[in-house]
Amino acid sequence: MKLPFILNGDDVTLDGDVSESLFTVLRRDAGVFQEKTPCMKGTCGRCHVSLDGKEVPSCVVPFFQVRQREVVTPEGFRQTEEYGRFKAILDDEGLVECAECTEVQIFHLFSYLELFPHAGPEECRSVIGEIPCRCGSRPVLERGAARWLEQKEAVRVGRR
Amino acid sequence: MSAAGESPTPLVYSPRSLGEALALFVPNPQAQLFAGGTAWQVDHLTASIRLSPVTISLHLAEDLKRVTYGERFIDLGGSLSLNQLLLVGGAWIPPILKEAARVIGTSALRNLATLGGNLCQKGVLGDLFPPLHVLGAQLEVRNLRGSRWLPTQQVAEEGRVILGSGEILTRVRVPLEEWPLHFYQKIGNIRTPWDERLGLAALARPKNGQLEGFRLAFHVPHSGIIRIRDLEAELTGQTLPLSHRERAQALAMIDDAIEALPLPASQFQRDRIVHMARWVLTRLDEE
Repeated sequence: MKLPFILNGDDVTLDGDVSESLFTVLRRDAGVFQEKTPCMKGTCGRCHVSLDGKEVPSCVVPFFQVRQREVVTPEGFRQTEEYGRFKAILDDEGLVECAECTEVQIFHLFSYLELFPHAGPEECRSVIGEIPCRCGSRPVLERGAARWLEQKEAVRVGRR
Repeated sequence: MSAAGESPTPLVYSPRSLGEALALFVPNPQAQLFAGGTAWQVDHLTASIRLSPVTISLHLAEDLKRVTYGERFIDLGGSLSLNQLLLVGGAWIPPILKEAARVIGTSALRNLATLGGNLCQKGVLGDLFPPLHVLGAQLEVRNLRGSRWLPTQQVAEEGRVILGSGEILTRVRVPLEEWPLHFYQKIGNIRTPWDERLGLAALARPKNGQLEGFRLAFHVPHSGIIRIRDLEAELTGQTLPLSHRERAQALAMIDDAIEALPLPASQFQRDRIVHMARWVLTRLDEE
């Protein structure tokens, strides 16, 4: 089954079985997620992608659902201007990259803040806690999330 | 509408509307519905999703994702994702329902998981059921011949949402009453052993030192829902704080209800139910 969709801004057509997960097809045919072993339950965050602007675990999304939709992987997200701005704030707050979780956390947190731009500190803490890791980056991410939302709010108010 | 795959590969349909979805049941009466897909199993060996031989995926049916507002209720589309429910419903969604939706899975899973999918899991009631039950919600199911409303009381008695042939859960009607106090707790998740899972949903309306309204439900996943109308009636109208006798009587009624469950609750569940009940009663006293 060949399905056309947009992957990181490019029109692609990939071939996969109807019951294969999006993760499986992306890993096999698009060369992404090569060094990752996700939980296949949709909870670890390692296979998350953005599907039509919403973060989803690609291991539980059946491939047939991506027809003519837009997929952005964490690799694709890293090429965006918004990633650069968000990462700059996190760096400024003292983010030290953890090999296990940082990439996943940034994608996860950014996606959540896009969806819920009025998230409070407790909500952000809870969302950051959804990605299982014992490294010490959580307080940094929380501070970064608060600053990012402040900046976005300032821009929004300025536009009025 | 698009179809993909050939037998013995699963046959998957992706209808673009409720009407198309219902029509697909005519030639495919055994078809299984695929909502968010978060409860479907992934085969770890083949990394594929275990689909039914004929599957109707509802992800493109936009008319099943609608939210409509009435004067005294809100209607939530069956295919509304949990995050959409939190976003679109906004301030209208009763806080207890928001709280229950927020603690399901992760944010990424909540972008996929749907209201209907949560309620219509195979053989078990989802975590959104207890809050919907105490809120007095009704579930609309529809097939090609028409629609019917399922009161949550009926669902609670049957132990799960039983859909007839060719039926789809189309919307959930939630009454918009004011409940100043709400209590929601969940122990365990979909991967926790049955006898270690539990849910509590309660609503209370204290006013001028009296309990004007009270509703309480426990969800014991492998056995059913505990909802004691007599207890609710007994406590409604009582002066706050409750007397020692009233509290003891309430706990005794809950104990009796645990004993009456069709399948016995584990000791773990019994202990937690009593603990949760005490917590609710204590909080009422603090009002």
